[in-house]
Amino acid sequence: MDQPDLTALIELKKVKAGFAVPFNHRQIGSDYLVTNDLGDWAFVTPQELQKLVYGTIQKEDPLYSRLAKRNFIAAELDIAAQAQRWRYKNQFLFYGPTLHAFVLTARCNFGCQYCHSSIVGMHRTDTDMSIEVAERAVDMAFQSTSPGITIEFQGGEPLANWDTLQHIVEYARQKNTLAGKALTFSLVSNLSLMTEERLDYLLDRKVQMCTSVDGPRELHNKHRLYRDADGFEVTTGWMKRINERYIELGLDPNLYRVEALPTVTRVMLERPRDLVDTYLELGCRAIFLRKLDPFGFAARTSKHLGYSMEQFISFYTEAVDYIIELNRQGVQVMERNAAIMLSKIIADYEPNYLDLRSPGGAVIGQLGYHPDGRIYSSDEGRFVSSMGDEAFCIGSVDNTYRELMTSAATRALVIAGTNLSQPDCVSCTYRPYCGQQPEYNYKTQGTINGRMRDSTWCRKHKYIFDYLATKLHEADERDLAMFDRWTTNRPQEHFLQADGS
Amino acid sequence: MAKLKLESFDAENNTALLSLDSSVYTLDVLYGAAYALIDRAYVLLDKQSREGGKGSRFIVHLRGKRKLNKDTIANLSGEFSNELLSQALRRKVVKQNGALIEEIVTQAIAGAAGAALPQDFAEEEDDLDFLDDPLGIAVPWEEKFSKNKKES
Repeated sequence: MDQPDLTALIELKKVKAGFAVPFNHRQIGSDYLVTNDLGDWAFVTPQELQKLVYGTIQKEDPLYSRLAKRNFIAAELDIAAQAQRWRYKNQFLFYGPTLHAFVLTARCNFGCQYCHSSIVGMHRTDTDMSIEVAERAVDMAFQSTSPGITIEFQGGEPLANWDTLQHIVEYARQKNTLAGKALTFSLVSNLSLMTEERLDYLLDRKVQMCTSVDGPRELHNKHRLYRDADGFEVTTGWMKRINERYIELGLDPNLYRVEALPTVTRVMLERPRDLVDTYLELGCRAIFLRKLDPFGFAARTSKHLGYSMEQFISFYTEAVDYIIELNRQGVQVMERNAAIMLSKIIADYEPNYLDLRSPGGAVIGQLGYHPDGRIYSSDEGRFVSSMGDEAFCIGSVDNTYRELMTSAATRALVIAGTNLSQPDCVSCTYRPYCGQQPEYNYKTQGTINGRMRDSTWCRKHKYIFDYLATKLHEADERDLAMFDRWTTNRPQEHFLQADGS
Repeated sequence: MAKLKLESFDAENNTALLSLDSSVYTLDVLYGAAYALIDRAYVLLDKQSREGGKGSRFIVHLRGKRKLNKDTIANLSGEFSNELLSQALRRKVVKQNGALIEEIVTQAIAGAAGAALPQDFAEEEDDLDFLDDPLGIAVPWEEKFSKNKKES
C-alpha cells in the first residue's frame, strides 16, 4: 500500500491547535490508526484525519461523536473521569515490586543450549540458597508496598533445592498471617525432579507450576539436553499428571493447567504449526512465542541457534495466523504477546506485564534474588550478572528495602524505562501500550536508554502491534469476539493463599 | 564540520582516532555516546583547538578490546555517530517532558518505597551506646544548672 502523502493532505497553516487532544498516528492499510495519551484509539480515513487536524468536524457529523467517545475531541474531554481512569490503569505506580524471583540454586540437570542462567553441575550444592538467606529474602519481599506478591522459584532447577523451597513456602505463609497480602507461589521447573510426594505438597500449598516445552519431541530434546532419560517424555509426562490432579481437585481444566513456554530457536523457525500443534496436544490453551534473548548461553550460542528479527517476525506471523485460523474452527488457543497487547488496546486494561509498561518493571515491579543474597533489578539483570557484569545488582538482603527502592541505580532504571524519556517512543502511536527494558537496551546497545530506532526490542514489538492493528482493522464480528476472549481476565484465585493461613 | 572523521587507524597497535567539531554536541552528549563503546574499546577523550583559534574538535582515542579492522572501525564510528544523535535528542526530549517524567518517576519510587520506617534509620542509632546521652536528658537539673547558680 502506498503511503498517502501527508504533506499533500495536511497544510500546516490550516492546523487548528486545541481542537484535538495530542495524538499520534500510523498508517494501517489505507487508513490511519490514531492513539492518544490515555490509550484510546480509532481508525480514520485520510480525509477524516485531515478534518480532525483542521478542527473542521461539525458536531452533527457522526465522526464527531465517534471521536468524542474515544476522547480525541478536546472540548468533550471529561478531565476528572480521565484522571481516574489514568490512575486505575497506572496503579502499579502506587506500589512496589509484585514479582520476587528466587533463584534457589545454580544447579541444573538439563543442559539447555540457550540457557540464560549460569548453571552448574548437580554436585555443586555450594550454589544452593541457604535457609538463612531464604528467610531474609522473604523478609525483603514482604516489605514491598504491593498488596500482592508472587514468590517465583527459579534456578538452575529449583526442585534440586527442595528443602529450601519448602521452608520458603512455610515461612512466607507464616509471615502472611500478619501481613495479609495476596500471596502466591510459582514454580518454574523442568519437572524432572518431581515426585508424587513433592507434587502432593505443591498442590496442597497451591504452588502454581510452569515449565518449558520447545515444540515437538525431537526439537525439544535437541535443545534441552537431558542425559538421564527422554527429556520431552519426562516433562510432558508430569504436565499430564499435574493436569489430572487439578481435575481431581475439582478445578476448571480450562483455567487450571500447567503453563508451558517455548523458546524459539533457529530450527523451530520452519515449524511454527508443529509448535502450536504440540502445545494443543499437551492441553495448553496459550503459547508465549518468545524470541531467543541476548543473555547467557543464548548470546554465546547465537551463531548456531540465533536468527534475525525478520526471521522471527515471519515465524510469528505464520504461527499467529495459524492460531487465528484454529480459533475460527472452534479451537480455543491464544498467543500471549498478542493477548497482553490486546488487553491494553481493546480491553483498556493494564495487565501489569513488567516488560511492556512505562516505567518498566525493573526494581519497582520485580526483584531477582541470587542464592547468595545478592538482589538484582530483574531476571534479566541477573542474566547480565551471569555474564560477569554486575551492573544490575542493586544490593543484597543486607540492605534495607527502602535503600533498594530509592537507590541511584533504581532511579536511573525507572527514568530509562519511561517511554516519555525516549526519542521515538514519545512520538510512537503505540506508546500508551508499550514499554522497554533497560537491561535489554544495555546488553544489546550498550546503554540503559538504548536507541529505539535501531533496537530489536522496538522492532519486534512495533511489528506485533502493527500486525494486531491490521487484524483489528480487518476484523469481522467473529474475529472481534475472538480477540475479546483473548483479553478476558480470569484470575486463578485457587493459587491465592487464603487469608495468609 | 559536524562530520565524524577517522583521523587515523593503526592496525598494529589496534588503535583508531576519531574527531568531530566540538560546537555541534555538548560535552555531556559526548560522554554519553563514548560510554556506549566501552565494552568494545578503551576510550580516551580529548579536545584540540584548531590552528588560528577557529573553533576546536573533540578527539576520541579508541583502542580495541578485540582486534580492530576497517569494518569494525566503520561500525564503531557509525554507532558512535548514532549514539551522539540519540544522546542529544534524548536530552531535548527529557527537557521537554521533564515535568511529567519527574511526576511519574517520583510517584513510582515513592509508591514502591512507601513511608520511612524507624529501622531505616537504625544505622545512625547503632553508633550510640545505650548509656550515651547526646542531648543531656539524663543530667540532673541541679547538676546542669549548678554552675549558673554559683555564679549568681
